[in-house]
Amino acid sequence: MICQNINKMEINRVLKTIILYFLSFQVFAKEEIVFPVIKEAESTSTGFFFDAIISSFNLIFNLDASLFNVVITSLKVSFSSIIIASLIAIPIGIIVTLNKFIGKRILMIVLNTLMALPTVVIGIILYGILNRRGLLGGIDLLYTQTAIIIGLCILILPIILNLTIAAIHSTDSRLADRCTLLGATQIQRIFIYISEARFALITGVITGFGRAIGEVGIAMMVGGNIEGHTRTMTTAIALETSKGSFEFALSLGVILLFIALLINIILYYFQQKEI
Amino acid sequence: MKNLYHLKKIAFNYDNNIFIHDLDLEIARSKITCFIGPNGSGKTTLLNILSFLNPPNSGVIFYDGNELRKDNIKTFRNTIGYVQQNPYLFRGTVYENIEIGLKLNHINYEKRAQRIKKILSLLRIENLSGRLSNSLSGGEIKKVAIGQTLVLEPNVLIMDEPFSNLDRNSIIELEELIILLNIKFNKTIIFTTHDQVQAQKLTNLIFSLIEGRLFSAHFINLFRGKFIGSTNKFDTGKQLMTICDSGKEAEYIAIDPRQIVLSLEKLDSSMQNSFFGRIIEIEENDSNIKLNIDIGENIQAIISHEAFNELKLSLSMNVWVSFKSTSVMIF
Repeated sequence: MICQNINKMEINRVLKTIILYFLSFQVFAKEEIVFPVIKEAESTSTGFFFDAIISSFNLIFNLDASLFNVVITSLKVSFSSIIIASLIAIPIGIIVTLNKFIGKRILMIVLNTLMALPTVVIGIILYGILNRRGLLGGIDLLYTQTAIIIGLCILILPIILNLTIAAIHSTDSRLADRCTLLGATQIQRIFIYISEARFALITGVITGFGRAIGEVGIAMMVGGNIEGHTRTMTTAIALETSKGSFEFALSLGVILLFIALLINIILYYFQQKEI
Repeated sequence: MKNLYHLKKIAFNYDNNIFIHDLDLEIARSKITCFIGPNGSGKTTLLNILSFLNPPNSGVIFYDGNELRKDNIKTFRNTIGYVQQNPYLFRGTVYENIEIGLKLNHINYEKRAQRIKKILSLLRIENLSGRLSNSLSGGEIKKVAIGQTLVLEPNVLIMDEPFSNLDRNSIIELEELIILLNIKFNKTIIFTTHDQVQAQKLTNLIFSLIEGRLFSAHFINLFRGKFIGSTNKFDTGKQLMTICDSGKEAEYIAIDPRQIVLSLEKLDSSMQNSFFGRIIEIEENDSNIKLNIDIGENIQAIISHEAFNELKLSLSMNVWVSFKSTSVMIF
């Protein structure tokens, strides 16, 4: 009961914040000096949000250069991190699942905890390591795309690892015997399991990608949100919104949503194939 | 070395459940050996040990004259093919499934194609070659699994319940295949079944496995049940039988099919057990005739050709089945 109440209170609070957020735009929209770009919206003050959507679509379809620069940076860091994290996590996940060793349970608990690791925590730790006075300050990685990729890898590695372990666990128990009987080596076994559980593994990879592309804390803290270099979609949305260029932020939001939709279509396709 | 396997004092337990008790066993080379037993008697566990899939908890295994150790288990395992009861097939086509073992053993493309072609024709499954493994029926899966195992050319072929879930034609085909492999290719074949008739068709090297214990004789009329109180009545669940011993904690009884007397009228004799039943199966051999009679339980009797002709027995005929209480073995 208490829990439910808290949840309700929480939801109410969030709703209020959202409503206030949009109301504040309604107020600001009337002040010409603060938001010169949204002058058109002034004529129909209630249509501000919809006008912004229309302008954002204009930006997208006119292939706005600065907009696409941000999108490409985002995709680049997300794809790089997902490839690196998958190459590490999938083989390790399979080895961990198929072998018995001391401390396996503790490892599982740690991995589950790491799944819930807040991105700002990763950001701050990485910042501490990479800044000039930090452990790896000498290699000048702070505020580079590489730093974001490292941070995203740390973020999604436990996710892919956990989902790999779950996928391998749910494969047929007879598969292990079959591998032994056919004389498969440990490395051959990893490839067999990847092939047999491929759809479940892809689900894990795509989930990781979804997490990476929507991430803002790490990109902001170790990327630094440098225009044309480390500005990703999420950091750009945060910045542009506070700057007041709502259409630009919104158009990025639309693209982000579109990518999420695409990811889910792919995910759905693989889940259907699994059945 | 005449015997391929020599097992000494093998025991296997898991989670405090004993699956195999102190088991001593010798399995002849190039022969067909069969293990018969009811469900849960430890057949699969024994085959897992024989295929070196699961090592026993205690005991020694000699294979081909060598003691099995951790360092030579892999070498020996490669000479054994094991088809499990519900075989697992990989994703992909039947062809790819048969190919996978060869690929894992780094056999080149031409040799692979050659060997797979041979196996497909041996098993008469050329038509399945391009089919996806998840579109196969139970019987087809079994055949593909046998192909997957045989293509690696093992010396020993171990099969767990190969005849279950197969239709009549497939059973005959598999029987022919087993005999062919044994006679032409000189392979040692080990299989399990719970069907006594099936076992007798293929071999006379039959072992009975009951609750993890091995009996060299094979029990044909084996019934599970319990004694009623401390009387000498044994309840199999479907029929009450009278036994000369009483009150023991035995769980199984077996009746020698040669000790069973058939008659058209109820016999007025010293025999304690008399049941009215119907003949449901007749099988003629060179030396005798086997009859399966439904007396509530399914019981098998072996009689001579003369007796069979004298009684003019036929299918669906009603007969009296009698046997002495002393001809019942209990354990």
